Amino acid sequence: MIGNDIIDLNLARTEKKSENLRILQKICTEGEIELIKSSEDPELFFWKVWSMKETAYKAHQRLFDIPRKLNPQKYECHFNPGNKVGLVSIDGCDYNVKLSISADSIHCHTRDASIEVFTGVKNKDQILINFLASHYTKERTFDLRKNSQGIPSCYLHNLKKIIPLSVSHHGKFTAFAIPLIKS
Amino acid sequence: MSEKEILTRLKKIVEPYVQSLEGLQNFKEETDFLNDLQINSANLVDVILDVEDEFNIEIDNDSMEGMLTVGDAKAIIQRKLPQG
Repeated sequence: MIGNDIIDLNLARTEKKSENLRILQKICTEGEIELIKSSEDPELFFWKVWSMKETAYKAHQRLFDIPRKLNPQKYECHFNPGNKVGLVSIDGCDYNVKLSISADSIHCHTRDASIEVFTGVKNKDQILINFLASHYTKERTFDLRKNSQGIPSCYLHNLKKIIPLSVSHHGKFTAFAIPLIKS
Repeated sequence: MSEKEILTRLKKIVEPYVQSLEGLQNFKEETDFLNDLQINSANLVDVILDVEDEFNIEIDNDSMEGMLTVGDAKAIIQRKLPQG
């Protein structure tokens, strides 16, 4: 199931969320708070946890078509020793996620062989046009749509096809995750 | 506290996080924090903390779950405020 989340670290780091226990207690489990506090870079670790939770939330919401909720604490993150992949549990469901971290961004997406992710700093439409051109069609007439639960998809006018996609933007970055379905 | 006063204070709280001025000009109970005001979801948690401070209430995580619109927030604030 697709889900992805991008964090612009230049923007995020100014928020110093890891220093605010009240914030942490609304978002994280006790175990996650311990890991953040004992980390060498607590702010980076907090945003890794946040992007994992957001990624799993998007996948979980799409999978069950459930209404939006602000319940990040219920998404429990588990890390492997290297911390580049992780697992997020919610209501008995597990989502494997992969983290890509650079000096100025964190990108997280669900791990699935058939998912293509695309990130960039151009405007959202241009990134999507480039993505579609390389994977589906040169068509430029499409709409981003959201269903009644706010779950996004992309409607390709000429192909009369709806493809699901996960969208994330933060600061200067935009990221998409799209399942690769060959027509 | 009157409904109008709650909404006025709420509007002031969300202002620094809003990315859609159009949504802010149209601030009403149906206004959706994420869709209409384009507040990012991490900042929505900041809004909740600011609401706790402004109204001197505690918003538990179960209440926070359903705080998606201005009307949701207003209802939670009214429920948590001491009566009278």
